[in-house]
Amino acid sequence: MNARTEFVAPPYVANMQRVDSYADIDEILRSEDFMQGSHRESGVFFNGSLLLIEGHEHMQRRQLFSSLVSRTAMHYYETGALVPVIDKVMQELRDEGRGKDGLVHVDLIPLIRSMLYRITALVTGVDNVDTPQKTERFRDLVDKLGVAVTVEWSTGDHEQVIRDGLEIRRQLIEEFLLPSLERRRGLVSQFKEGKMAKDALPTDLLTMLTLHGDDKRPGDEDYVWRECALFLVASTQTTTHTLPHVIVHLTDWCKSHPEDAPKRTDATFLRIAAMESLRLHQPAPTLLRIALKDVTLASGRKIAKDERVALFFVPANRETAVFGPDAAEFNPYRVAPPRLSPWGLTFGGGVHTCIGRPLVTGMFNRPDDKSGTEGTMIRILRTLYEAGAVMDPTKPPKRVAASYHDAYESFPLVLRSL
Amino acid sequence: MSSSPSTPRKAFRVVIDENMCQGIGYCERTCPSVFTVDKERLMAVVKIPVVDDPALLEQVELAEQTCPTRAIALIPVDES
Repeated sequence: MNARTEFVAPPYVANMQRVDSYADIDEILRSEDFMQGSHRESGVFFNGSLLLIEGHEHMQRRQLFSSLVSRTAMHYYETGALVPVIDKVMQELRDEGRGKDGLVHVDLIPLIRSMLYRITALVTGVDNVDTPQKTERFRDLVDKLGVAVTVEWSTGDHEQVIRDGLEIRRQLIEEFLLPSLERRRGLVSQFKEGKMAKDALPTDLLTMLTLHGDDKRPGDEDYVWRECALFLVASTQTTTHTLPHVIVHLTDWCKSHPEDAPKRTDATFLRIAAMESLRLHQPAPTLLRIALKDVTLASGRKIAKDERVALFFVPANRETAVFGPDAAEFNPYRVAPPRLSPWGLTFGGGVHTCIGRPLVTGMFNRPDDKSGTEGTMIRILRTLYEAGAVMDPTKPPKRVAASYHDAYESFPLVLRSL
Repeated sequence: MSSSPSTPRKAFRVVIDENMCQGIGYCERTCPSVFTVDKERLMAVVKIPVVDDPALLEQVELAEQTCPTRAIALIPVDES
């Protein structure tokens, strides 16, 4: 099965200047002469959030959220939230997931979400996701919210998608977010009255916002829910999107490179395979930016003041001049050029580089590697391959039909060793 | 999640991962006494390579966590 598909741009970018050169996109993302131009339709879910603010306000917000992405936090999300849930889910499959052939059959897409929900709840600060019913309900609402906040990519009726998304958000607020926020307001009050040490407060988004007085902004009381929407969706989106692509690529790769098949339980090999898959498949294949003044890029490309340009990451990340003559192919042993990430532009660049990137990729390949993490994608992949995961030969995966995204809605696996 | 203690207060070597750094400058704005940005190379530069002052270290940690590309590493001196 070929994992490479032609990139189909959504209609909303059709009339914009298309930028698909790696160097041009990199320059635009880093430049202070451009601002965010994405999420006009989905702004109802994201306006005012970290994703869409600029300048000093953006840096201050990154500082406010810094403890959510500290090394300590990353380590805790992985070892305290992800690993125990993976173990529990795999035990449930072992006990109850066998088919008539005696093997465990499972759909990877809901499986990934079931493994990541606790991280989502921890980062955002959602309490009471503690029974099977509440867990399922929380996961379902977050999944549906994820569809709504990417409305620009929807192949359906966008107005209806937004209406549905707002109703889903209302239910999330009522059932999960508001009770969690109220508890944090109580804790922060105790802290401010000197009855509780700061270290005893939870480290999560809702607590940070409450401490900062952003839980109830005058004139914009919904801001807190828009910031929550960003963290709820972003904490799982990349792993859910890209992990199936890794499995497709590795299935193909190991047919032509059988000597690498045993390495599929090796974290180092899985990491380079995951990075290469991230380069080829982006959860957000196009971002938009608006020029704040007339700009001429180093390449000579001109962009007029107030012009909204579409940055196409798929062709840029497959540019042969940057990644070599086989740039469109999967090669886990590819060496990225100096000063380039192995995933290319997939996590964006400049001030809006994805804040959750270290959660997905792990904190690795750095001088302080001793305190590194594997990342959600490698942890899950390793677990699956240790359980003998192969694509189900009787049930091919299905691509998402309701969106232009390069993603799967169903991805049947057989876990032959579980 | 309960808050965990931050990095122990001892000496740390401050290192920039040159493959990750894009010269955005949040480090310089967060902790100007330790970081500056080389505008030509678009790269952060460390002015004080080893930090052991607790107050300064707190700022360096904030810069490390605020960096959009996570290009800053803090290495305990006894491990480097």
